[in-house]
Amino acid sequence: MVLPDFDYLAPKTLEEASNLLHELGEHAMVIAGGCDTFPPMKQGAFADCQYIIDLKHIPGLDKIEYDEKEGLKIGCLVKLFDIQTSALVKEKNPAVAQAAKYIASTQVRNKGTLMGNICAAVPSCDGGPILIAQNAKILVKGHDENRAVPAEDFFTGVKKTCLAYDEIATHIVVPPLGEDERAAYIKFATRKAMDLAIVGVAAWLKMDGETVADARIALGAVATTPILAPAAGEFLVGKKLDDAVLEACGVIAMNSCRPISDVRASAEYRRDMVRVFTKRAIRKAIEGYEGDAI
Amino acid sequence: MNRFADKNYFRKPEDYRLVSGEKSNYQHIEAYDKVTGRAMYAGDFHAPDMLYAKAKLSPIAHARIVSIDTSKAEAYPGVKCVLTGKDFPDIKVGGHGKGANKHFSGEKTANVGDGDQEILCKTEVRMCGDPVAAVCATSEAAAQRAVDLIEVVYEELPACFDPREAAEADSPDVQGYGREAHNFGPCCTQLGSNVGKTVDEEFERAAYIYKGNFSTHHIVHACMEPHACYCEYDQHLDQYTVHVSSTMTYSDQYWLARVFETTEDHFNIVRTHVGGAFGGKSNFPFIEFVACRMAQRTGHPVRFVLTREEEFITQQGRHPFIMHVETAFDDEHRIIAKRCRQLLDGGAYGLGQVASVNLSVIWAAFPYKIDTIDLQSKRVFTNKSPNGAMRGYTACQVQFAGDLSMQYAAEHLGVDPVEFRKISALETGYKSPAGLVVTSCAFKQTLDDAAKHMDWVNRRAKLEKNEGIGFSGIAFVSGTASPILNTPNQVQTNATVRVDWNGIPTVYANCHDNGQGADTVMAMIVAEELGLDLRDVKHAETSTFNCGYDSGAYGSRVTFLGGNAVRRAAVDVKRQICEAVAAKWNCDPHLIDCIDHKVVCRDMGREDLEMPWRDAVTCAMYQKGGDEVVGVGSYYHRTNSAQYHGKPSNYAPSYVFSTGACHLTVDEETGVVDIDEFFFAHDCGQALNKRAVEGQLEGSIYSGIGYTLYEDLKDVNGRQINTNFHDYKMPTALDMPHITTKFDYPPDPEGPFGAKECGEGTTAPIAPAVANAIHMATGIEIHDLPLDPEHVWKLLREQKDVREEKWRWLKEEYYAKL
Repeated sequence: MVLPDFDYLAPKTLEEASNLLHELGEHAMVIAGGCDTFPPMKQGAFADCQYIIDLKHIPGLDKIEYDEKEGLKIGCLVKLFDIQTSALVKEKNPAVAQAAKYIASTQVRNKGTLMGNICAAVPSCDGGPILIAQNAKILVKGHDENRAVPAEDFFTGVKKTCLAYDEIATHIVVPPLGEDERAAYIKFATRKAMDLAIVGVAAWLKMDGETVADARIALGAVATTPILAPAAGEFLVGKKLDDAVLEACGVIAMNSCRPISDVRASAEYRRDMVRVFTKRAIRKAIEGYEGDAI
Repeated sequence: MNRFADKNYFRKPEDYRLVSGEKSNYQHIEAYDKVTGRAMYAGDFHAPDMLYAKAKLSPIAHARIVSIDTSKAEAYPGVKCVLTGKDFPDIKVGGHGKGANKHFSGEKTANVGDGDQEILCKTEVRMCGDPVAAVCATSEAAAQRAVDLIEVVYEELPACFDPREAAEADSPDVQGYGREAHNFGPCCTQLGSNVGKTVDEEFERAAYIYKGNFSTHHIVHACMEPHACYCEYDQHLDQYTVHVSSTMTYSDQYWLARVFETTEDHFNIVRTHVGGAFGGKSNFPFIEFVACRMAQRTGHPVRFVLTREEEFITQQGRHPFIMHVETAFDDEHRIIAKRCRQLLDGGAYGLGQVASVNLSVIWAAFPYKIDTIDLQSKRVFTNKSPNGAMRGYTACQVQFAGDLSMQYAAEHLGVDPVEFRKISALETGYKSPAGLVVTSCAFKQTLDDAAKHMDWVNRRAKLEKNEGIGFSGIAFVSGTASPILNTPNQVQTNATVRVDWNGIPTVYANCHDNGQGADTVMAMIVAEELGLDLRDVKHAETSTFNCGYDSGAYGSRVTFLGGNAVRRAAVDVKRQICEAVAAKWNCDPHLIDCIDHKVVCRDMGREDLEMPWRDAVTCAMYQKGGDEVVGVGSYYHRTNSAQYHGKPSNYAPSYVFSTGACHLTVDEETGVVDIDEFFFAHDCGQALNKRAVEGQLEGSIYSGIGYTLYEDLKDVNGRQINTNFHDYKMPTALDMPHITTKFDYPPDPEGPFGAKECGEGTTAPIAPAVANAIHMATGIEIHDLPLDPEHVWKLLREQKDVREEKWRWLKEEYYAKL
């Protein structure tokens, strides 16, 4: 329960942060809110961390912007509570606001960031599925070059991402939702706050009238990382969303994952909940978030 | 002044100013300190030269200790003291202390002597989390690192984790009782009849017998404040000052004196703020003995605070139960006899084990008139963390089985479940075959109020699929007969009220306030008797050196027994003042009263005589040659000396009755239970502080819902696997239903101003009410806890073939035709 010794560094520019990371090597860790860094550290995690590089003093990374073409751009210092309550996010992509609201508690959301949530990369992270389903990109600043990583490729394992030691994830960019596009994320957990997902299901749909033109279903807490369930999305294409189609899609999603049994739920229960919440997430996407108190 | 208290001086109900009516609605007097962080809990104490203690805990459930090497820890920079079992004598702690057992009516099947827990294990560990060594150092980090450097070699021994297996002949021996004891601790059987029949005879003539098996799971208290201790040692006085998160400081003093092989006068145990107890701080954690020994060895103050994980694995929880229940009804649907067999999973140690078996047998007959009983509880040891007192001590488990039995029997017999409970409901004046005497009882009214609130008769046949309303009725004790330690005259509380020359009364009562509002209610009792305001009465910060005995905050006894003692101390003050003023006014002191900051005369024709409170105090001091007015009061309950001795015998001075009712919906696909409304009617006699009563009832519903739907301490071969609040889930505020409470029922004849228990037993009806509502909503039959989503989902699948039909039968046949 005691924090180890480390040096705390507070660069003023992204360039400075990037140089520090590059110089200090793998013994440095980047933080935004620190919510997924310090509590585990007190339990003995990140034992070889010698430097904490706090990004909070870098201006400009705490903005939410929207561009008709690019979509929603969320800086890595934007707090979850600000995403949850942002009128812009709620208007342009309410499922992202809902995903942010699902994370931890109001207190933690006033400290933690969406970028931090995905960089911590726990299998049940609530930020993952909705970004994967909507084909979001993570903008990454490297020491020598920058890149944009599709959310689907961002996660590489339990608590592992594709980021190299000297890379900093700076923005999340979610493509704009067209008039015929819908998205939703549902987290299933025991408690209404301060809980980890038993399963999380995100659905993105592009409709052509009553028929599905394109679809992506992403799942959380059922694999080592949040995953895309391509077969479930493909199955929907060309179909009308009646109960039988939803049920069949749920079964496909269920069969496309191999969750583990742990202290929170058995694999058997998780699989069945993937079936249930795939149906519900698709329904929610069609129904939309209007009138919801996100 | 005890049972001989001059009740002529007691405040008459028609003169109550503070304890009834709208005014009786007080914020806890320490509330501001607590919410601003100013209140000092044991773990908040600090000194510049303080040392931090940490312990090395066993990672193995059952093992022989081959060797302990502390040399690396001793050499670690900053380490000041390293202790192992060798630093303590061969004295084991726990249990109730000397003289306790004879006041319980249990049978002894094995050695249930005072203590069975070593401070630091010497030769054998019996559970994961058993402490084997301890370190104190100049920083917490150094202490932890030194602990990690201690090398312990274990030789693993066979262990048992399942209570049924532990009770088998060839099971590993947990406590060293010998194989023939089959790991059994105490056992309690209550056999008896008010009608001169045996249980077999009554079962023979029964019109219907319900038989069922039930089980409950393992949870912990999960107080926000873990066990903590801060100890200072004065070597010149050879005296320890101990701040410990305890609700039984006199017992702490008793056990410290035993372990240090000295007398009680060396231990001043300060009554600090306690951050939640729920029964879990009536034990004597190893940390206080370790901290005292370290303070003695080093000369520095020592602080020992358990982490959340350590709190989970080293401290006690709630007993899991395995129960078989048989209830016999006559052709008028009245219970005529009951038989039950209950097996308690005790974990590795006894704690207050005698109480757990005795109480669980008492609850088995509650809250009904059952004239013929054969009730038995056995507690077995297993290699897991021990179980002991927890909010609604064993009532949450036993009355879960009892109430579900009633629900299923009512359905079988085609009687409305609320009316069915009323047929056999306990009533004032009933004496059970076990010897329990009911002196006040509004159980039937609580059932009626619940049915009315839920609009039950109109709604019962109209609920939709997956929608249910459930009721549950329970009874609980209001205080206990045992003062734990062997006190003179079996006195439970000694209280003092001192009034200084400015007329300021100060109450000295060591009644533990673990958040339930004891300090507030004690001040209120004094203010009521002396005709003052709550804020006029001051609280002494008490310790075992400056205040009389109080056995502790357990058994729902503080307001009833402590409050009665404090009331008597206040009345002793009042008597002295009335006598002094009477001499001046030349009238009968019994006709003088203290009310509204005045001493007034109630003698006919002389009503205009009055004196301000402070003048009356001055008058009394003049008459006593300058002596202060000091009132003493004590309390124990014994209406006749035979009542608590022999068999059958009474257990508590009074009993309380509650009905819980809820409305909920069940998500058939996920098993999620969503309670949207909870109603709670509680017969606590006269509520002394409405706000506190309401808070206690809401808290009971909170922890009952936690027990039923959320909390579940899981272990794999004795190693707990969810020792944090992420994975050990308690509901959040967002998960709570809308709550309505009702608690204005007739006063109890013996409770202080008519008050009875509130907030402990009230946890017991939650699980059965929820289970009964789930049953109504889905048709599934429930026998086991918990009812978290995955368990309900499993039940829904397992009973898939029958539940649909059962649900239809309930709606269209049973409820439609009532």
